Amino acid sequence: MTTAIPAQSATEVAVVPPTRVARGGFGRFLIRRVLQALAVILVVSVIVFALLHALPGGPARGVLGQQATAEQIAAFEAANGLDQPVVLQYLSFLGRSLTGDLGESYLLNQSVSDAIALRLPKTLLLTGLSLVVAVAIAVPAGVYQAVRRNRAVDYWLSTLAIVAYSTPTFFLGMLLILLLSQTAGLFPAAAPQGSGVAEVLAQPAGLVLPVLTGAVPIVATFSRYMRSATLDNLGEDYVRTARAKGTVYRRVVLRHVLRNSLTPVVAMLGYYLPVMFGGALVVEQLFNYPGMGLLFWSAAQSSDFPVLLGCVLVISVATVVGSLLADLVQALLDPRTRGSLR
Amino acid sequence: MTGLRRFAANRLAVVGAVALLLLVLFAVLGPLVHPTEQVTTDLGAANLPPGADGHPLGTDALGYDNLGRLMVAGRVSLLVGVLAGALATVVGTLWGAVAGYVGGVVDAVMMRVVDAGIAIPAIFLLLVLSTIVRPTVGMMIVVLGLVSWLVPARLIRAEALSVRTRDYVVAARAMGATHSRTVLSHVIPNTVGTVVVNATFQVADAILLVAYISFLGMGVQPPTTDWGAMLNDGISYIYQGAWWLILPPGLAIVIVVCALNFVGDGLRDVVDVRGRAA
Amino acid sequence: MSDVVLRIQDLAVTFATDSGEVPAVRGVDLEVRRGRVVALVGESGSGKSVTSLSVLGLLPTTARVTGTVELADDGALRDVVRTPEDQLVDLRGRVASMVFQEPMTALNPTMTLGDQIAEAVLNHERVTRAAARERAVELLRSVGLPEPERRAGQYPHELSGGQRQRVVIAIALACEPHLIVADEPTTALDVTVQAGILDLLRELVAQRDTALLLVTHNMGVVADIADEVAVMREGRIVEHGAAEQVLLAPEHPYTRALLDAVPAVPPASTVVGTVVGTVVGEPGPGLPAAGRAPDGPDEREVVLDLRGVSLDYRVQGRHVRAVEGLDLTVRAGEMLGLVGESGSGKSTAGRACLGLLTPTEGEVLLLGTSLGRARGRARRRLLADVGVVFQDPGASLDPRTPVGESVAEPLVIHGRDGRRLSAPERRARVRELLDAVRLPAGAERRYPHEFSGGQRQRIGLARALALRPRLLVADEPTSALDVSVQAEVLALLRDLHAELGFGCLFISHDLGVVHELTDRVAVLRAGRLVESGPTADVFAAPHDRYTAELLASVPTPDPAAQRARRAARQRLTAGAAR
Repeated sequence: MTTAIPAQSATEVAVVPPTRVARGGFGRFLIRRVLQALAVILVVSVIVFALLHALPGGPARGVLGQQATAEQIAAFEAANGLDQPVVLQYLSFLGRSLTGDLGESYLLNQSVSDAIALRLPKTLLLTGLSLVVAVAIAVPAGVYQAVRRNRAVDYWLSTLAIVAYSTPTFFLGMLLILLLSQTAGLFPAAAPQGSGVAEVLAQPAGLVLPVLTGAVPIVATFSRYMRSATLDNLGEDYVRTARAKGTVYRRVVLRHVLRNSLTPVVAMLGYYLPVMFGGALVVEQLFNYPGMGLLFWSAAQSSDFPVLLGCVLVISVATVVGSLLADLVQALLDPRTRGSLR
Repeated sequence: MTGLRRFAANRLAVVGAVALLLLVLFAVLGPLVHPTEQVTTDLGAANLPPGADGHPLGTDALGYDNLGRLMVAGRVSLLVGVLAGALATVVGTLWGAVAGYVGGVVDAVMMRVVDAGIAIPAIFLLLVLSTIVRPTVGMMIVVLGLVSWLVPARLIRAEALSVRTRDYVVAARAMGATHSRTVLSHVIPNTVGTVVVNATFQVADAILLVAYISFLGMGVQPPTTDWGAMLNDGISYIYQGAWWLILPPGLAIVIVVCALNFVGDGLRDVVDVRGRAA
Repeated sequence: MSDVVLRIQDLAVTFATDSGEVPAVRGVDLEVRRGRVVALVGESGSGKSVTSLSVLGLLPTTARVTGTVELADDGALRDVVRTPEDQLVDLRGRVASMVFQEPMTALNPTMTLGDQIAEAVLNHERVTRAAARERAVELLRSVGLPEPERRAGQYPHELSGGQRQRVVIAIALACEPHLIVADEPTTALDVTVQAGILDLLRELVAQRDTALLLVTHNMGVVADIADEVAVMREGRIVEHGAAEQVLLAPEHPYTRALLDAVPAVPPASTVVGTVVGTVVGEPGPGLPAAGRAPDGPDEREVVLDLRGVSLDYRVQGRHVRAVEGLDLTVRAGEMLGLVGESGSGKSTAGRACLGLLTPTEGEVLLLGTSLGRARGRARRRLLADVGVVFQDPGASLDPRTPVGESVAEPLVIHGRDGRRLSAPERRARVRELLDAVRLPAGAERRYPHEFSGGQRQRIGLARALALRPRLLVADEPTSALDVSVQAEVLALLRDLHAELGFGCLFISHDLGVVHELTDRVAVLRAGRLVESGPTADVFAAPHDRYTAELLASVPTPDPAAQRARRAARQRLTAGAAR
């Protein structure tokens, strides 16, 4: 081992692959990504503001309700600066939103922020549980399919995933109610009630069907992502290197491929958040689960505009923050971006 | 020709195409074979089980023949789905192509708008809009189209970005080709496959979205109906075991969306093969 | 007998595809003995890589294998073909191991280098993790990586391609196998890096008495390292013998043709700046009459003139300089070779000549007119006088456009002699061009994917010459081609150049090709011009140490001459290290 082995040529050291430089700079990436998220939130706020003004009768009617007279509306507009230029109105809307003032619900005798604060945790709980269940199924399923690609089992699981994806959540929920609740009597069809997360968690049987219903479409989507990410990685050269040094295939998949396949799938989770929140709305409505989706749905039934717009704003910001986090987690999982933290 | 054979080689795609054709025929021509009254209610004949007195699939709570209702609802679901999907594809393709080809600041601004649109869950936005405008069939098409163009925009932008850097496009630019020529003769022909495949999935998603909105009670108003609204009407009778109000419209949605997804996968095989052979 | 580490008998491999069984290897016999370096050479599709993968049983599941592939394991021979996967795992890495072509992708990007090497040890030996890590550091040291302790904790992206290949070699060495199979281990690397890796492999084989089965397409690499050579063609071994004999006195006509197609390598100089000490390579062939500049001042028109051109590219908002203050001229009828290794900025400079990139400083003049200042119609007219051929023959033609339309595209864009061409005129011109690049009748109606790589490159050449340009920019036009195909395309280019008299900027990393083809040469390193002048002069007596090292690093297919070149290079690098 001590014999002089020819070292690298002087020219070799100088070569730094430019593509990797492009990936570097976690600090820069972080700043850029956060600025991007802020820009998106700003555009969202403009959209919500525009919706507010698209309401029949404008925001004044929105706050005062359908019975308000023309004089009341004029007085309200003067008092709240609604006769000012649109830009100023927008800025004051933005300012109020930033301080958490989203207006008053007409029906609930509650401020919009209080109404949301009470229900958002329960929605996050339901969505989070569905996500955990879904990932626990989708990741192994996708990896298994990739390993057994183009065999009968892969073919059937892929078809099943498309069928599951094509089944509207509410129809799936109805079927589950019919089968597991009505016919088999295994779980209650009504979701747990209560004001806090703790109370909801105290009734686990009632959570089963809502969580399951919410999880199925996520499984359908993410098992496909996972399958394709795993397939991509199984075709990579490093897999061949690992096999050539005598690594057992099982370990190649679990130790090498899985880790690298999860990274892009984590980023996809961020993009998928809006769909998950949409799904939560349907599940909550179907099972009468007291979350933000149900709040929103009831508000839509009764044209409770402050609640509707407040929910849209909060849900959108949650989505933006969620995908930001997903991107950051992805960057941290990848040593190519993480390395430059030092 | 090889493209058609490729498509035919994907058995699920063929099954999907046939199923789609049958469902369209069912919705469009079905009422000619099985004419029913779908405007005036007939409370005397409400909630009949399947097989009763000229109602092969029974009747609903308002006495409408369920089989006939499935046909007319299918017309609405398919029409709204196809047109909204097409609208989303056109708007999204143009937006994405411009952003991807022009690049720079224009691209950044256009894509932040797309990000913002995607951040607002479509169902939430649709429910707000349906409280503002009266949901007619035409309005549903426009609103759904305008909510769904974001994903194709993102996809086509990525595709345009990648086509733009391919050597044959670079070669055209080095030859002194104008931007319009480069886009028309190289960029568009090489992205059209992606657009067509995505359009199929877009229609599938639009049909699902229509169903969601109608199920939430904010879709087209009676006596017009669609499959989602039928499910919404039927859900109250789920506990009385009225399965015939739930299963047919639900399965119709599942079948049509599945079929579109299978067809889309088949088309993707066709498009990919052309790309791979090059 | 006992020193045989690999014995392949009557190996045949076929692949199941949509269009039936496709044979890849048929009836191959090969024996590798301890301490020997056996090279398996051939062009793409010859079956050499398939043969190498069958040694470790790493063929894809679509492969059907017959015959025997026996590896020596503790004195016994074990047939890989008949060993089930769960027992093959025990052989791989311990009895024989493998080094692959692409060092950039051969390592797991999310695992430290130390762990990847330690895994190889842990796969076969009952040692603690800590002991395996220590071994990993030791192995990194033995493959010549400085600071092995620190390297062990790094990830692949922190290393250059050559360094990564050293890590892959360390993995292959981890369990001291009797045989290392290396599949094109230096093909993806720059020549100077390649030379270092070959030195390393040679030393390791000698030290450890390991056998090396080296798969390569490069005859120079064979001459540099191999004891024996087996030449493969269409799945069969057509010639097998000692390296000296096969390379210097080939018996099979295919081997002869293959060796003839290799561009003659310029001589290697040991002393920078003088003609003294030149080690003879092979004399280059005479250049065509149109090429060589006459003595005295050159009167020919300058078609391309780069004046102090600097180019930046942007990486996440940061500007990185790719080319710095580059001066170049190409005259009508002249071929200028622009050479350099990866990252030298040569392609970037080429793109600036095509108006695809705008210089940060300096300017590009085409036919005396500044490309940067021309706008709209004037700019397009200027570009009509420039043709371009890219490296990748698969990517430079639009897959959805028939070949005839691609070739006609410049005619459609610019017309000819200031007027639009009618459709029949265009067709006639396209036919004329396709004839000129020797493509059969009816080619214009077919699509790019129906042609081979060499044919596509000729189509690209036809398109580039459609308007009889004054300048042709050729960016690595033959790098993706097999040598025999490369020879055809280069001969064609040379003929057309002699006939049409355009000026040509020939960008290449291959000094042999540049030596054969060009009149003048410019050497780029890290974006800067280090040397330029008449090709013969620069290659005979480089003024710059880098040019000298580059030249000495190119291996030549003559084993004796290659030994001398190697010595010359080692003296140069030793000088550089001092």
